[in-house]
Amino acid sequence: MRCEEVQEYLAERLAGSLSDRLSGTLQSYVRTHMRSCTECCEELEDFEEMQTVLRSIPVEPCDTNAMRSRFNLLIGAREEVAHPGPVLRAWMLPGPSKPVVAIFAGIVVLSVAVFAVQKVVKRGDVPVAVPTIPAQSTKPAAAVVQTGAMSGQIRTAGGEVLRRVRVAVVAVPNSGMPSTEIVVESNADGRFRLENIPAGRYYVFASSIDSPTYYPGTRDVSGAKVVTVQAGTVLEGINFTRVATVRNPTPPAPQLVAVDVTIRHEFGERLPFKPDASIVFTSTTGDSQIAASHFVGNLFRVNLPADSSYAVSVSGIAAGYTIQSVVDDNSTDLLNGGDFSTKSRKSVPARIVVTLSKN
Amino acid sequence: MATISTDESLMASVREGASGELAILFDRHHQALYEFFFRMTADRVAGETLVQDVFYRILKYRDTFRDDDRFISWLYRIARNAHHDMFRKTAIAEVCNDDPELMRKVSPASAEGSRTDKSSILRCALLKMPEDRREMIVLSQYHQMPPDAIAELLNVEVPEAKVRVHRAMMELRDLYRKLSG
Repeated sequence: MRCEEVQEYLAERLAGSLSDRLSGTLQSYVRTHMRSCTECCEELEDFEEMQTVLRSIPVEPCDTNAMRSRFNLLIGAREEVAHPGPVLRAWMLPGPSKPVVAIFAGIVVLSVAVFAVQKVVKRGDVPVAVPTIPAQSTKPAAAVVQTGAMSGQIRTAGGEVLRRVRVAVVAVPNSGMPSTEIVVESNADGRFRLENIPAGRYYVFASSIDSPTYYPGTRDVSGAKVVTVQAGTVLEGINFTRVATVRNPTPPAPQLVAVDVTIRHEFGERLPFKPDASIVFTSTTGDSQIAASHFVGNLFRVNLPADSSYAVSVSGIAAGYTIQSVVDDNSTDLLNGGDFSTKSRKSVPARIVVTLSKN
Repeated sequence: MATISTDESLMASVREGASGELAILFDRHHQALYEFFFRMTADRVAGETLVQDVFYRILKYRDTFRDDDRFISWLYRIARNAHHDMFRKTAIAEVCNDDPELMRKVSPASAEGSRTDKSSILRCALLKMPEDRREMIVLSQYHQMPPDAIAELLNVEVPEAKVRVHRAMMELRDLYRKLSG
């Protein structure tokens, strides 16, 4: 084997497109070549090291709850306009002009002109959010948006200031406003200042790891006070108290147990990419079913309510493979009638390993 | 056992007006999308905001999803655009130069590197790369997206997608070597 061929092999490998069988045969050729070629050898080592180090770069955890709340606001906004009016019906119509009509109708109905993407400028004492207008902006008028600002402070119920808490404004759905969202983090004194907010009506909320608190201090969006931002003015004193979750005497919301599901080959070989593999957890009380599918590598995470038992089933496995076993970290055989339990889990995340064998 | 809807069939429902189905797609993909953005930006707030932007765009452009599209490729095409729009005017490479901690680690004085140092240097190298090459690395190495899906996403032929991944990795290696001194 010559250097060029080895290079080609490396390229294929980097792109992740070698099948199991091929890589086995090829690998022995490559290894033979490597013994006599330091250049290729170095290159392979470099890439392998790089791949290992790349995977070790950590990802800062995201605030899933806050993301979900914002997503729900987005969905809520859409569901109200889903009742088909005369304009909306137009995008149901088949025909060559459908996409154009549909996008147009979407714009009219939603009055969506701008989606302001924000970036946080880390300068000065108080973080300032600067919305920018993306290229898709469809109304030229959006270029001269009248904006206002607001500032305030966030504390715990005990009166301590909360720093590094994200504070966001989201336009009240269906208020005729563009779907603006601006986020900043509170500073060391728990103070925040949001600028360049297009005039309009907004919900203000703070989110920490637990769940969002809406201004002036409620967990439920229905109790949130709508804040009206006027052009050229600064609303001061948007102070609120974070509603505590930890010391709350009322029964806590159902807790979630993270479960890492790994799919692996019985001999540890690389599995073919298969985006449709999915796992379904059916609650043994029959009242809920949670499905998850994955495509990122062979590992994915599912969050299941605590203190429950689930029947587990896996489907969508690549053709040519059979599920050999599905076992959790309590050694429960989930393939043959065993139930996966989230009761009194000591190790978190829990683990489930799905082992496949080749037919 | 109830059958599970594929991403494609869910997206088709969303397109036909069932916005609620998007919640399932959110559950399935928001974490991976966040990781994609975090690796592209090294910024949590930006990552979270971009995830929100992607789902907003999915609703806005849902009619552009065709039945023969692979959802993942379509999704990441939207994600790339969202990221591109946010950072059009920002030189992300400055992130490294402004980070004294990182500069200290990158300086030759501590060249005898532990894993953490290597990881910081590589992270820096990754952020210094041009956006299109950085995408290739993140998608192929972290998301293990196969060449055919990458090809679909870039709207190029499969061999071309492989070449781009390889080229990006070579570039990253050269940059990494340079920064390692």
